[in-house]
Amino acid sequence: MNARPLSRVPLLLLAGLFASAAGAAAGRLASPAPQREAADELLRAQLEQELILAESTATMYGELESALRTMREAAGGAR
Amino acid sequence: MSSRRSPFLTPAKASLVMVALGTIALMGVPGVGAYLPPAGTLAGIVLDRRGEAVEDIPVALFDAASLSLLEVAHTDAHGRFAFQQASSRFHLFAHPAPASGRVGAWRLSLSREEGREVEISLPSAHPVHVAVTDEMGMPIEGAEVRAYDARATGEESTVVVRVLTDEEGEALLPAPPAAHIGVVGHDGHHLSGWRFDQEIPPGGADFAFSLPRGTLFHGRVVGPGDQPLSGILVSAWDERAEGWQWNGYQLTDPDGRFDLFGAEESTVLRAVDLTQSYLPLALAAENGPRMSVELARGAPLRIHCTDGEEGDLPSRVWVWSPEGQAWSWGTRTDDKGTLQASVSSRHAVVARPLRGDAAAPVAAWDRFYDAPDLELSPAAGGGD
Repeated sequence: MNARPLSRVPLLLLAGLFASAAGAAAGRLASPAPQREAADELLRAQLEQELILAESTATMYGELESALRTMREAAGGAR
Repeated sequence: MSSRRSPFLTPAKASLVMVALGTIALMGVPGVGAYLPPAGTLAGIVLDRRGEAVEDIPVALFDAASLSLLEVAHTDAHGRFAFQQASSRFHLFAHPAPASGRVGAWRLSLSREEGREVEISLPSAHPVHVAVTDEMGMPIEGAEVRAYDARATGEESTVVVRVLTDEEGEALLPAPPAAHIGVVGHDGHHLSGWRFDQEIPPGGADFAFSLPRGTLFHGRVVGPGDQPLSGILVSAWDERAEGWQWNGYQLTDPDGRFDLFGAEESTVLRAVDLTQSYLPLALAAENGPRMSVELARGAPLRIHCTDGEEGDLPSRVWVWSPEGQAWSWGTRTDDKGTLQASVSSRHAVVARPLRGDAAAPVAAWDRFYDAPDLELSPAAGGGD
């Protein structure tokens, strides 16, 4: 029975494809830098969001301080 | 006939009267007798970290929608307070004196139903000394120093102390054990300075801030076709020896314009669409003529967060755009855990469950857009 030999061109093509896929996979494993960078950026984005959301408490704190000052002055004046 | 009338006040009667008067008097003494807590539409108690009642401190009631101060009550000898006014959703702040050894605390976004018995727990105050100088080493007087309570991770950070530096550029403030300490540049010349996520020991901590001069960056945010985008959140960061520093944010006006203070060099601007229609973008700020920041539209992606067992998981969701090198605003899903986002062809999605008892954040890193729906669960997303 004659086995039909595979032509060299498709073999080389297959080998090349395999090598590039393996290289890409190895590259992904070896350098998760983009993900790490994105993870660092996420921490900063979350911190920024935290600070922005906390701005309302800074505003309210200021209003309370002003109201307490007015109350203290009124109490001092009444004495 | 003679009758002997007994005297009006016998020793026995006098004793009875004394006992009755004593009982009445004791009823008003804290911890003795029938105590009637202050009554009102909203009520609660202020405790210190050991669970002991904190008396005679102001507690403020704010309307959650307008942020306006509605009423100030004071705690009684049992640490209890009550408000006569009510708001469908409200914030509370208990504000002890700086020298009390305790620092203020917030309860945010409570509903009227939750307001029947609110408990506010005050952290211990740890002393923080701050010295603020300019780039020449000269003290900056009147700089606003803030302590943020950073106990809870995520969105619950709150401003609990605000003081101004004296003529020596110094300030002494009480701070919670886990804090962000910030000096907010408001004078139009100097940048802000931050020390994030600080653990303040009981003995206290010292922080020295050297605030460089800043410059104003003018810009305009546009969409495709040079259409101005209003309401875009633009923020400024710059990198210094102490790490990344935040210089505040602004929402663009109807013409898409913004003016932000930042460092002459190394300022990075982040432009984020809060409605998630446009992709976020980070870029190096340029000084000189007005910058034009162009945001691209993304592809619609409906994200559904689940716990992996068919249960919806309401979460806060961030989407990464590799082209813009920026994350979106962390938007809350609805009660069913769904959110409509806008993503680039390649992207990452991170969801942080809103329920305190829920699992750790779920992430799907390095995804390609292949369908308008994404089921994000610990199993599907592959975890953090």
